[in-house]
Amino acid sequence: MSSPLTPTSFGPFDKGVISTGNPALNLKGALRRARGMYYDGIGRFVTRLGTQVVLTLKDDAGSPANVTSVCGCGHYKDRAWAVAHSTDTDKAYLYVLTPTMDGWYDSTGALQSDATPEPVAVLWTGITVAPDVTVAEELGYLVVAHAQAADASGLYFATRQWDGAYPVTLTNLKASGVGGIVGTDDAYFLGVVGFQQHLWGWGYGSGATGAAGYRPELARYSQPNFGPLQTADSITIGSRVRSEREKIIAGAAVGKALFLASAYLITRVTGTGRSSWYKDPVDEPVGLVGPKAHVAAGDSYWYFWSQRGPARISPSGPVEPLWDQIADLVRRVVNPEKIVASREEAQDLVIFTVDTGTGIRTRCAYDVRREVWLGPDDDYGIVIRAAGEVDEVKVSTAAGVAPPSGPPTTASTDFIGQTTARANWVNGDATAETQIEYRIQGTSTWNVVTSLAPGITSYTFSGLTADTSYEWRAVHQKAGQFSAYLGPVAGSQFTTVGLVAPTNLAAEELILTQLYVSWTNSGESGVSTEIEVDDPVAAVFSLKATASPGESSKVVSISRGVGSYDVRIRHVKGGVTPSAYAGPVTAVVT
Amino acid sequence: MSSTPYLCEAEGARILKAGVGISQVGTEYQVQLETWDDVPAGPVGDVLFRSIDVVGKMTNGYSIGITPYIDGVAQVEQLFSGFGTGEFQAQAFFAVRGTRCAAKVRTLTRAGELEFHDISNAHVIVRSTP
Repeated sequence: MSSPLTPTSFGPFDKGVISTGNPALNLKGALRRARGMYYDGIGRFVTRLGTQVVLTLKDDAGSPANVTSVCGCGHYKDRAWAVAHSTDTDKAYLYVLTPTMDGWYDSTGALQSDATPEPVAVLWTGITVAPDVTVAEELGYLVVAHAQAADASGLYFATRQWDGAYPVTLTNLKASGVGGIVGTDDAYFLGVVGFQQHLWGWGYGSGATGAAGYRPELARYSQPNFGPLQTADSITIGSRVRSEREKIIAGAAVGKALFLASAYLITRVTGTGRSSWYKDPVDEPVGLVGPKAHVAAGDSYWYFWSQRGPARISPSGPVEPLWDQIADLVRRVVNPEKIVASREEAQDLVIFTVDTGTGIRTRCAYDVRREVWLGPDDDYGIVIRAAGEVDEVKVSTAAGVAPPSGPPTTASTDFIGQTTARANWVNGDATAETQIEYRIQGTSTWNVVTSLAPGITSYTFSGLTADTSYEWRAVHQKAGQFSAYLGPVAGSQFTTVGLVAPTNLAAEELILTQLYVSWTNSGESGVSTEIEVDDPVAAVFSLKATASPGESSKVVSISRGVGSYDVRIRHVKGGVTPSAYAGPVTAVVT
Repeated sequence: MSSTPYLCEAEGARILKAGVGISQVGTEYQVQLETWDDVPAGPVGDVLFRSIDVVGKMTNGYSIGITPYIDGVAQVEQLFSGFGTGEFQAQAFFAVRGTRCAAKVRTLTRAGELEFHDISNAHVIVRSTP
């Protein structure tokens, strides 16, 4: 009997969440709210992952104590950087960390493997409030700027620079110079970013002038390769001069564009170098609420929290509002200037951490692939000041492939025949294969004849040419790697044997003008036999006849008549050195 | 490979790795899902709602609470838990007449990962409206 009940799914749960305050704006969502969740790589709606402590930063006191605030972190070359502040020492510190955040480097560059990093250098002293910092990392340089380079007490915090050399030494970034020469005054930027090999900074101050009140709408850029700052190299983001409304508060390189943002304006800078940069204020500007309220999702979009709420913009398009769907949360945000944007790339999330009354800890995640909001009321569990991404720079952890432990040695050649010879060696690595090569001496090309199984120590060449000088060499091969060669050396050079002389030579008078010569052939194939006779008058051997291969006797004509004739013979073969002579024997003609 | 996100503690010395593990430093965090209303018999229809059904998958047990909402009014939350690995089903039975039905599902504790595959309601339509 079938049930009278009708099931209806609330789902599918693949369209994300819509705001409790604005249900009519997006009806594709199945969920009114979802916190503690994210979509994994195949679209499953799963519980979100957590957090774990990886490092606890220390100050530079004699007995290092914990710092009181961590101000930022990010990648630096193949490592990571962090900045922290201590209200105990009133200092801000720079740390250099492993990219996996499981160790740190001291000021000499020595790796320390514990989880309590100590600073490599002091950024600023006499600093009573934890700074918000921006860091430009490019071309090996690390440049750190204090977002309030001149504080309320009139203390200036110069932009600091490290050239990447150890022991770590920080210097103050120098202000504008002339003609490519570095100036003498310290520079006070409120923020910095690297873009196209140039250091860009804003809120520029120099000398005894802090950055707070001087040309707040002006972004300056350095010479190429983070070179000196020049007086005329600057861009204003709007159309006003010294306007607080156009005071730059953040910059970000996103793909081919640099975004410079004030609280009321966003300007996109494009071009390819300092002679071609073009500024383009974005239509419908919505501004940026704070220096940390933005993050680039790769080269595609710049996500930021505007005066109306979260939004995004591509390097070439208009501002795209994202605030509509979470308007309820947007209304509850306090202290928007402290919003921290970050990215969890593995989960395709851009995360805005906002303050809804309990500090910067309310987590608001946007799934950039599925373009849905998740967890508008989620919670990180602790109050954070900043966030950063670090690419883990790793080499392969696969076991290394061992090459042969040594080359073959001690070459010798024996059993040398006309067409064969045996090469011998001593294995340098009995677990490696041995590749054998040979060539005729004086030629340039080696012929690889075989690759022998491990442990074999000899190889017999065949098919050689008689009476020819050869040389061979051997090399061990293991897992695709080769040892050094053995040879050619004296022991690997040899000459094949020539033709073997016939034997049992006999000669006798047949008639007065003829001799009968007989012999035993060497047995080599294709060899003829040359018969030479010593003329008793001329007293020199001259060729009298050539017996065809296989013949073992020959009648030889003579012309001198009575006398003693010496007879000798040898085997000959085309292209091969003749054998030694057999004989002479003497035949007496009477 | 993707980059790893890190969080900087505002009032302390810690750097936290984010997007890792099934626990969180600091305040415990749990899942809370709230569905939109289902209106099976029209905006003023009359329906007898009988259950909220949750199906999913667990890697190390589950412990959830299901709260039915009928016409916006929360019913008694019913708690479910199970052990092991694999698919799970939880059915929160009730019998309330109304027009609209929604559900809130939350985790009470987390010992492993949970996937939520579907949340549905079972009902009998008493009177539909055009």
